[in-house]
This record gives sequence, structure tokens and C-alpha cells, in this order.
Amino acid sequence: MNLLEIEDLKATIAGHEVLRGVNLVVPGGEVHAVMGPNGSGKSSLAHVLAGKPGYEVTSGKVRFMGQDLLALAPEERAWAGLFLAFQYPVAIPGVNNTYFLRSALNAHRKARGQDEIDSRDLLSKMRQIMKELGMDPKLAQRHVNDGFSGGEKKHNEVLQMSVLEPRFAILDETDSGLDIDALRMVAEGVNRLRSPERAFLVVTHYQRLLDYIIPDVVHVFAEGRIVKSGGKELALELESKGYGWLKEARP
Amino acid sequence: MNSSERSEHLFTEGRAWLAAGLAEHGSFGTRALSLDRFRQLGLPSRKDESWRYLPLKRVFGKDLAPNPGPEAEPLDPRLKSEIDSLGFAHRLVFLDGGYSAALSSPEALPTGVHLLCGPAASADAWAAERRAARAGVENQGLTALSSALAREDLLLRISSPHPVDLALIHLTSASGEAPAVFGELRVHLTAGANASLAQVFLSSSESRALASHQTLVTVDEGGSLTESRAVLGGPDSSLLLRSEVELGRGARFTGHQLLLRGGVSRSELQVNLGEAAEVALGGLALASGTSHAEHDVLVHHRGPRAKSQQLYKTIADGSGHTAFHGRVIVDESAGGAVAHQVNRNLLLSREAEVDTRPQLEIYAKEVEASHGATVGQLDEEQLFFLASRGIDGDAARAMLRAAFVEEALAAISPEPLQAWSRAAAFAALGVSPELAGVSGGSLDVG
Repeated sequence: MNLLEIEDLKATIAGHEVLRGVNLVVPGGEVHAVMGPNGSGKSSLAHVLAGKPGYEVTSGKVRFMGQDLLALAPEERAWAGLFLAFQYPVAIPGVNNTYFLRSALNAHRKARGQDEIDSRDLLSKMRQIMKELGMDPKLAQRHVNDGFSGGEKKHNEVLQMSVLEPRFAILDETDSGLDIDALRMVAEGVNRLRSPERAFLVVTHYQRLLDYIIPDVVHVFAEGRIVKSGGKELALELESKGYGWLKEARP
Repeated sequence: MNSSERSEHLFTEGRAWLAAGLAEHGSFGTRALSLDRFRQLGLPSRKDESWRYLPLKRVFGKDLAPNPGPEAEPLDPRLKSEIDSLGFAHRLVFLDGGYSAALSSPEALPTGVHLLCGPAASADAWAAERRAARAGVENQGLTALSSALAREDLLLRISSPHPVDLALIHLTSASGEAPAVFGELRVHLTAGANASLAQVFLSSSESRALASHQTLVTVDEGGSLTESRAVLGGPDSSLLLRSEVELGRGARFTGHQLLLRGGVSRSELQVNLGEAAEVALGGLALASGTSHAEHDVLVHHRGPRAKSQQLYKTIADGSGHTAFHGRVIVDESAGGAVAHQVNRNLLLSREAEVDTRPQLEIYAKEVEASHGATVGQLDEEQLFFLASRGIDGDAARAMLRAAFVEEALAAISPEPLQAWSRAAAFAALGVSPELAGVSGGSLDVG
């Protein structure tokens, strides 16, 4: 079953066209990588899918597990099982990370008509995830991303993803600015969630992350649309040739 | 009546009140000097820099009746239950500016703590010297008026080197169209003494009173004082607080002031730092409906190598108005000072208003100083981040409001005052009590 179907998606921000006809189908169980030069619209695609205010969809359709994704508010998209790991996660001073995670998880459960999670169950789940991924357990007690290093913020995104267990996760340049250990942890966080019911869209500028998260399909983004798709070897080709050759290759 | 007629009226009424209580007031001479000083200075006006944001007409524009006699029924049962709910072990209760033994806790005060009231306080040589030094030379009319008409001379002296916890509760219960009550409490920490004070200022919900309370604190060399104060007035009451804190060499003061509820509330604080003294201040002001809440803070570095830091936050919602006026003065003689001040304000509605005026005046060399003020709405990036995690608009906004005030609440001690203040703050902000754990504490994953 296809989790995500994007058809001719066009979007603007502040009157500037950033998506110029994106077509993409992601079936359950697959990892799709989106690569492309800076400013090609990769992150805009991630934001539009998550419903970030400021973007205007001017045409096209997005179906997420059979629903019209674009008709949903950002929180409804989250409840439906969509997750965006931010490139620059915002800090929320004063909000305890565990409190935040419990509120987020309970909001999901409420939307599904389930009871609130028992705090002890959540804590033991968090403990297990953090141990498996080798995270510093102190992250759970600090305020959300407040004073976190770049790497810690990304760990925190992976922790949220692991607790919320989305059906479809978008990682927006989660690898940017990470050292190799942090990169491995992010990859491990994704790999342990891989299953036939789930899919991932991994937005990245570099091939490096894809050594650890092996994609099923690689898409190349340029000027607001996908200009080439292929297997994982396409990522290697991009790595050796750069993005310049795409300009000539484009129809 | 115009403002000067009102001042004259208060002067005349005040003189009659003083004369009637002549026998009770050992400090009659200094009070008379203060009252004359009030006559010179008058009530606060727009021209006073420090009073420019206060709705003066609302507070002073009525026929104020100073210190009406004691009520037949001493206390509103709701006030009584509110102070009981605070659950302090040692509490001293002051009713309209006078000590109430009946409402205070019956246990003896801790060792090294003495409360002197009335003639005993007037007779204290240390206090008399200080009273004499300022009587007639006050720099504000309301300060002079409050010293002149304070219901009772009060002196709290703490000389215990071991930490002492004490709660002081100031109740305004006077009824009538426009009663004005005055209180003045001197607090003296002798050299090396160590104390933690919780002060609560409460008016009943029906109160139309103006209450002016002064706390005059001296911390002698090497002493250490922590004070948390919470202010909760009624919708038609005005609570005007002034604190003066004199820090001797190497003395420390940590002070937090929460303006949580009330028609008009103002917390004025002046701290004078001697050599190597240290002060850490924090505060919160909440104003919704048509409330006005303001902090006016003056930190004056007088001796060298003193340190000060401040974090003041306000939230204005509805048609509420908050203000922060913070001055830091570093004298020429106060080199090596470290002075930091931060003021953050949240503006939650179109009709709400926030005023902020941070000021640094530095006359010394080699000073490390900073100040910053921000006024903003709830952060759109944070709201989107929370929404993307499934936490929707109302819940996310409540969470961010709670988080904003939590930083100020977390510094409040003791714990019962913190919990009580949190409940009051959340109620004022329309935030569910369930958000009490937003900043953590009870959650531990380790």
C-alpha cells in the first residue's frame, strides 16, 4: 500500500515558487532519499508536507494513507502518523522534555480514542530507547532543546520519533552538522523503526547518511521538482559527480 | 477635588489620625515630620518618572480615608481559609498594617527571632535612629505618607546564624468606599544572620482599599536574606508595595516578587549594595482583564566589587497592562561591579499593553554590565513545532504560557508558597493545573 502519494505539487512562500510540480509515491516499508543542491526545495517539500504556516500550496494533491493530507492541520497530520524531524529544532525553555513527550504521546492517543499512557510505561520506554541508541539519559530531564548542542537536538528528534512511532517520518537534513557517532545514532534510530507498515523520506545534502540508512529509492531534487530517480547507486553517482551535471541532464 | 486638594485632605485626615493615637505612637515626632514631608511632595504624579505608567486616577482619584478603625468582624472567612491553605509552620499575620496575634501561629518564634510591636518597636534605639535619619527627607510623597501613617511601629529582628524560615502575611480587610491602609515593617538581620522570608500580601475580593506597605530591610555585614513575596489583590483593590534593602559588606539578598492578581499592583524595590554585597532578583507580573501590574526596581551599587542580577518577566492579556522600570546605578566608588538585568514580556492580546524601561547609569570604571528587554507574542516557531508533535493550538499556547511563568515560579521558596503561587498564576492565565509539571521536577527517567 502506498503511504504517501504526491501529485504535481506546487507551492509558494512569500510569493516565491519553491515547489514546481513534485510527483512522488512512497509505498510502505520503503526508505526514499531526497538529495539535491542547497535551495533546490528539498526542505520546502518537508515543510509543506508537515503543514508549516507561511507556505501556500497553489496546485497538486497529497494523499497520506488515503486521506487528503493538505486538508489537515499540522497536529492532525501528526495524529494521522506523519512526523517531521526538523533541520533546526526550536528550543522551548521551561518545558521539560519528558513532560513534552508525554503530552505529545497523549495527544496522539486521545486522537485515536485511547487512554493516556501510564507515566511509568512512558519512562521505561524512553529509558529503553535511550539505552539502545546510546543517548545521554539527562536529555530527558532538560528543557526541550534548551542549551542543547546541535548533535543533542538531533538526538532529541530521534527520541521523539522513536516514542511517537509514526507511520511516515520525514528527516529534514537531520545529518547536517553531525559527527560520525551522532550520524550513526540517527541512522540506528531510523533502522530500528523500519517495518513494512512504515516509510521514511530522508532529505539530505550528502551521501554520507545513506551509508547507514540504505535507501530503496533516491530522488534528485533541483529547482523545486524531482529531476531524476534511481536506486541507491544514484547517491554514489551524485557524490562523485556533484550536482552540476544535472543541469545538462534535465529535459 | 484635584490632586493637590486630595493631598491636603489626606494630610488633614492623617494629622487627626495621628493626634487621636498619640499615646500609642512613641514615634510621633518622626511621623509628624514625615507627614509634613508628604504635604510638600504630595501624591504621586505623572511627572514622577517612577510612577508614569501607574493608573494614578484609578488609585488615588477618590476620597481616601486613612486607616479606618478595626472591623467589627475581623476577617473575611475566605481570607482566613486562604491563609490557612498556605500551610506555613510559623506565620506572622498583619491586619491592615497592624500585628494580629490572634491570626498568627501560636507557637513561639524560632530562637533568634524577635518581633517588636508598637511602643516596644518605637523604643528600640537601632530602629529609632533609622527612623530619625529618613523622617522629613523622604524622596517620594507616598513613602513619607506611609511612614507617617503606618498603623503600628513594627520591628522584626533576626540574629540567628542558622537558617530561619518565617512567613509574613499582610491582609487588607478594611471595608468602605475608599479606605487607605498603611503598613511599615522594619526587618533587621544582624551580622552573620541567615533567614528566609515568605511574604504574602492579600486583599479580599470585595476590597476597594488602597494598601501601601513598606518593608525596610537592613542586612548587616555577612548576613544573608532570601525573600519571596506574592501579591494577590481583589479586582477593585490597589496594593502598592515598597521594599528598601540595605546590604552591608559581603551581605547577600535574594528576592523574588510575584504580582499575581489584583486591580492595581505595584512592587517597588530599592537595593543598596555595600562592598562585595550580592543581590539576585527575580519577578513576575501578570495582568489580564483590566488589571495593572508593575515592577519598579532600583539597584544601586554603592560599594566596590558588588554583584547584582535581575530577571523580571511580565504577561499582559485581555486589556491588562504591565510595566517594568528597572534602573541600575553604579557609583563612581563602586568599581569592579557586575550588574546584569533581563526583562522579558509576553503580550497576549491586541488590547493589552506592556511598557518596559531598563536603565543603566554607570559612573565607575571597570564594570561588567548588561541589560536587555524583549516584548513579544508566543513564538510561532515553537507553536508549529508543538503542533507537528500533535500538541494543538490551545494546548500548545497553554504550555508556552505555563513555561514562561515557570522560570519565575521555580525560584520561589518555600515549597508551599511556590505551589500556592503557581496555582494563583495558572488561574490568572487560564492555564490548567495539570500543567504544573511542565518544567519537570517530578519526572525522572534516570
